[in-house]
Amino acid sequence: MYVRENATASGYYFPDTSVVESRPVIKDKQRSDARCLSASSSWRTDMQEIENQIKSLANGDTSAMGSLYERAKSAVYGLSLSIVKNSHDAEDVMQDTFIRVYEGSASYRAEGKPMAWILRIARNLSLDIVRSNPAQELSLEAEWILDADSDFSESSLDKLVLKMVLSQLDEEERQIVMLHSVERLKHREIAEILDIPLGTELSKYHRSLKKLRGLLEEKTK
Amino acid sequence: MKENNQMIENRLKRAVESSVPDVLANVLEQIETKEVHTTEAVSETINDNNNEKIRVLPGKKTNFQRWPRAVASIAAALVIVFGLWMNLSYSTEAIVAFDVNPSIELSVNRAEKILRINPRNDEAKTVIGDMDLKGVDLDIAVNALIGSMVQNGYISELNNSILITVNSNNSEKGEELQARLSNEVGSLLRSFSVDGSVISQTTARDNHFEDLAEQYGISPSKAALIEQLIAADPSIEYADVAGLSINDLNILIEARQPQLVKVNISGHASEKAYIGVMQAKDIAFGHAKVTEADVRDLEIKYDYDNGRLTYEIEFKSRGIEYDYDIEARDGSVIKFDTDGKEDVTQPQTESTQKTEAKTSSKLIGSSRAEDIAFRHAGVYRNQARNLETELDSDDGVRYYEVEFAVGSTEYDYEIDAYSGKILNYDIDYGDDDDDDDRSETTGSTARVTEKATTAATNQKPLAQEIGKGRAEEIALRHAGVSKGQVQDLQIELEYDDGIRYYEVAFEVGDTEYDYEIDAYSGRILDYDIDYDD
Repeated sequence: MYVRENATASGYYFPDTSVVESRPVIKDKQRSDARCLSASSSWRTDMQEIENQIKSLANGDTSAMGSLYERAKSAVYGLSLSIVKNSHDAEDVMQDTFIRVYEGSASYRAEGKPMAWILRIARNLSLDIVRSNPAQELSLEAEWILDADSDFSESSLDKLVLKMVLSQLDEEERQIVMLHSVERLKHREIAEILDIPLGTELSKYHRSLKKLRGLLEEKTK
Repeated sequence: MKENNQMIENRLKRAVESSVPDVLANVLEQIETKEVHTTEAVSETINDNNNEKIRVLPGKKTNFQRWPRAVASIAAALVIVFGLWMNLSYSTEAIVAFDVNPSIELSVNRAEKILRINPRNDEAKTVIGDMDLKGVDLDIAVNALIGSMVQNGYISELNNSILITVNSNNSEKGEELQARLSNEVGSLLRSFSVDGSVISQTTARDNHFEDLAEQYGISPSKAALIEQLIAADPSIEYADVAGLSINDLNILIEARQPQLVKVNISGHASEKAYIGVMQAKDIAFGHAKVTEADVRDLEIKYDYDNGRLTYEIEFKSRGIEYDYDIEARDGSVIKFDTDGKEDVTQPQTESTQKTEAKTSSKLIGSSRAEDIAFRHAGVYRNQARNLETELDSDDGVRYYEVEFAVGSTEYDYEIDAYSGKILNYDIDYGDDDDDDDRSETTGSTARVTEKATTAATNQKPLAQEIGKGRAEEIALRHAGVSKGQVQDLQIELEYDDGIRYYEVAFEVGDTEYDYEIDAYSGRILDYDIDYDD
């Protein structure tokens, strides 16, 4: 007999306590949650909310910064990190970005793309750093990341991927992968922010992910 | 270990999120002392006027986005309880397969607990996600999988057919299970507000289906269904219907009513993704430039052509017989024949005149033309670089111009677009390895791989690429959108790790679609849909 009341539509959210075949358990749910968010009108509401926060900042209401910061910090940090390649500078960029957002809030024109606007600021500030100090090379803090090689727990695999992104991809590829992964921006939006043709963005994206897949497979063999 | 793009992206996202430093206090401290600039201190405002596009959302993805979490945890708790209960017997009693487009096989033991779960394609992996169904009761697993298929948009009002195959050596038990699952899935779909159509069948274990499945890039259960179809209607060719979706096959079965053994169908296949008989008829009449009042002996039926479902429309008008094949999803005219006296209103006059004797005006298609050229040149498709094929016409003769290079040799063929005859060819044994045209799409590393695999591919029979047009159709069909809705369509042939695939990217309103489609089988290897609102 089928126990429908027990296993309705939501029955497929089983706890990820073990493994299907030999596949590692990955929280794809996060991805699908992100999809759900953007699939509904809440994506627009989300953007609307950010625009409202920017508007509040423009009116001198600094209390709006807290929620704006929470919403945008990962994307801003991820993008800066992908350009400056070290957490120290990325942190500086992050701080400056939010200050610039505040300063520029009055000149922001609400067009439904506040994240793209914020990310462009972060990108420009990051590029400034790279340009002003071209010698700055990858200085991934050892304690932060290097132990990842020997330990295949989920969180260190995550860090391994971050490390591979920073060390194995070129600057444009890093930004593309970061924006797509962290902020879930669409390819067209990424192409706009980076000012490259959509086709180029797509082929770079796929090439990068292919590379990462291969590297990860090799590392964890 | 194989990880897909999504898993890797999720890892990266988590890694970044867990390492974000906290600078909020500093930011707040600094902005207290600053003022908002009213001038253009920050000039990076985004100017984008291209985005006032019509928003068309595919309806099929809008429902079933969230399930109540409370019920999820109850279900989860139940799974644990069931897990404790489990009294596993490790011998497989039956294999139950579910085919929509995702194709999943569950091996169950006598107690109907899942022993093994086998995703047969990438869509199936998406459906399974991070569920662990091992040891779970079959009915719970079915609930979970069907729920996930609906949630992921694989089953919808547009695509409501599912094939359930029970593969068992005990035919009596198998049929009993078949009937039970069919009922259960039917009512399950109703509970998700989908008026589903369930095709169910019982098959004996047979490696023959595995072989067929491999040959046509489909699942063994679909192969078994097609075999039944062909047994009942020998006019059907395997290769022609292998590319049809389960929903397409369902429609075809409904239209032709073949005698199938141990196959049960409940409900009706959705025709909402198709243009419909009326529109198909109008397209044919419009193309033939006739009015309905002049038409006699009109006959319309579902047909198929090269993996596509079509409307076959036959009619007579003013002494001429017309026979059209209209693509059922996008309404394009795939094929038309006329029989009778010369018709001045016939479109594409230059081609119809030439082909009157052959009574068919069907183009051979660019990939067929390419194959003819390759065969003549004695090269394999995988060896050819910078392949460019164009449909051209000269003095009323339509031909495919096929150009490609192998090593430093360049080939240039003109192939009659209807007969496939080689009209002209030119081989240039240059010594300059000018192969940079495609570096954007294939990349230098890809080319190395290509050369490395040439030896291996030489032994294989000549595989045929499906062509950009077909790749586009597959992507549009999967997305459930028509060509007219699509913007910024880009298709490129890519080559990676020995896999040749088409990258198809397009937008519908603010939704961005990105597909990777196997260049030979037409299988969707990967896809990504980004919704905006």
